[in-house]
Amino acid sequence: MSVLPQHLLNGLAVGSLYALLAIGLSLTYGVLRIINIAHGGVYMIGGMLALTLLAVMRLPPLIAVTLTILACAGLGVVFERFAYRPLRGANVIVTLISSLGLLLAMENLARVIWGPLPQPFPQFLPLHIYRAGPVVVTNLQVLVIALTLVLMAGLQWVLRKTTLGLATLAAVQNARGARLLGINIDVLAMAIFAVGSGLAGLAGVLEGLYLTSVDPSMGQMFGLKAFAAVVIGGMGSVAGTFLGAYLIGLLEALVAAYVSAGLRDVITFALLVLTLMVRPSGLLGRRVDRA
Amino acid sequence: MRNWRGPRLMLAAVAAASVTLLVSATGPMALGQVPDVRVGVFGPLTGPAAADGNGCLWGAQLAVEQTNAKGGIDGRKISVASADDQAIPAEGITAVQRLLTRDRATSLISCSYSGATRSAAPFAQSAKAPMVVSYAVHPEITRAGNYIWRVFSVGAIQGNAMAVMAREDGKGTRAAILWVKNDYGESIGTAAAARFAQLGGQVVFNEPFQIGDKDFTTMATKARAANPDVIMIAGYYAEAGLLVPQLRRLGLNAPIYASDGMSAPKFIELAGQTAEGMVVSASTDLNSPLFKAFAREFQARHRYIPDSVASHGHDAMLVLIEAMRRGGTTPEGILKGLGMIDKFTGVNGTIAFTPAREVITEQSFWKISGGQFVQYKLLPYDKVK
Repeated sequence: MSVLPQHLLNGLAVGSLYALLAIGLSLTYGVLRIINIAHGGVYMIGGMLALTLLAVMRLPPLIAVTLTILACAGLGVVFERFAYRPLRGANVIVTLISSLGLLLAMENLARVIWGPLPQPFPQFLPLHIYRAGPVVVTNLQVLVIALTLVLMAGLQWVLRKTTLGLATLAAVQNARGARLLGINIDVLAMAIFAVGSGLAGLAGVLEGLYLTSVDPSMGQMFGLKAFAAVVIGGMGSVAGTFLGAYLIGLLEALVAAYVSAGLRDVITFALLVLTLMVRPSGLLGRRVDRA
Repeated sequence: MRNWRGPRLMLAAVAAASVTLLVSATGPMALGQVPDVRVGVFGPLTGPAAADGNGCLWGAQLAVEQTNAKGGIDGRKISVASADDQAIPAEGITAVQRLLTRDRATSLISCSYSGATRSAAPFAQSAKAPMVVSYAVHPEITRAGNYIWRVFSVGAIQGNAMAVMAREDGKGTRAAILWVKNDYGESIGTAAAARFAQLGGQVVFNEPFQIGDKDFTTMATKARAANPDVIMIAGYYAEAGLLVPQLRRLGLNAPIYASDGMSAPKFIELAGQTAEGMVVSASTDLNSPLFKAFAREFQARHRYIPDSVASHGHDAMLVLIEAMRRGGTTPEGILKGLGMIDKFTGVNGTIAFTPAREVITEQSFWKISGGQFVQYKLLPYDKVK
């Protein structure tokens, strides 16, 4: 049992990546009722783009990461404007198909640009390993977890204290009502896509750093896991999404550690199915208003 | 049933068209000309596994080119017909049928993975077309019958060899064995565990991971808790390229013995510094003059150093050609010739066959040193069987 803290730490690190990715999904579903499958693709583009900026163009890491986040945010805004806005109000299945198309296009474009094989990600942070008895902590794990917590706290602050944030929460509660109150949904949609996609891009960079390689299909499984986190936590609930993401991260680590690594993905999706059966609105989700 | 007629007419039209195409593709033979000996090669020439399929095909084609330059077999040229199976089992069957009927191949080489080769083998057997398997490792393949032969060691042999190395070369007493959960990983991992125990070692950790896994921190944590003094990994570079750095990062520093899935430059690229000092099973002796000559010729044509699939495609063709020399170019002759092969020298090492038509050859190991593979050790077959 002495390595239990190590397993928990590993789970928290991966849970953080899920959380960064899931937040964009949660907001887009909450406000716009879009199941944004393409989000995993933006995450992948983040990892691959940072690879090029770092390894090929040799930009300083801080600049490369900032550019990656901005580019992904821009990509999100473009998607919103040209792939989702024309479909606003359409059946959720229609936007889902549009989203799936975007994902496939991104993945295959990435295969053309970067090739289908995994690429080593430039390890621009010198690795430090700290030992505490049987527990080994790397500075990367600390970075991933701390950065995620800070960003999530910041996001909560924005949501509760700024006009845009309050407008977002209002729209999550009742989109039609929010519009009646004069909230400009177009501006809100752009902001949500920019923030969510920027965070997804950052998650792609962090995965490259933490797990050492990136590849054009890295967004598939991670995108699905993030989506599971949103559903388990409660569609449209930001706090619920964090909870769902960390729950999945920890559960996966513990199942892999004490049951079998082969069951890791199974347990996540089993939990997803269970949630849908027992508590369809998720852990912290309110009954969503079907406006 | 109302729409039945339409499709059937279509089908008939398509069939008629293909027959026409077939006839014109084969073409009338010039009078008096000796027909080529046609060898059919199938493998993934497109799709995600295309690099392996094409590399193997090019290796085979080089053997044909060199043989033809020296006059072929008794004055008859050899020609290669290729078919793409995309490494999909159902396509393997189609590819073999096409090679045997449309292309009139009399013998076959599998340049494909286990799935497609396994589905194709019974068809080659029932058509009585001798087939040499280049690098597919599933044990069932050669059990399809006496027409199916293999120039690549099955997983169990490789697992035995890894265990012998881990025990004797690495002086390991407590082994951690990590294997990818498919036929390849399981056959190597199971054999390695059994042989390591048989040699007096103790297996303290023995677990699978999945294809596509990226986060190995849990596995690394668990393996470290078992406190091994040697590690064996049976897997492919895509996962192992992440697994090895994560093992090292979490403080597992025991020597690593790896399967041939990691004998690709891409593995060193992915694992970087953490790959240094690893010993990798490779099935090719890099120091052999024959391999060096092959690598030079191959590189001149295709601009990369041939990997294991390319050199085994080459050896599969060399073995087939040798069988034709000994037994003649009819399928029965080739089969007889294959049975006569003993201590044949290919580019990967010496080749003989067991009664079950599996290769008898040395097991080679490379070491990763200075970001490169260098030849490390050769284990005789007797030690690993």
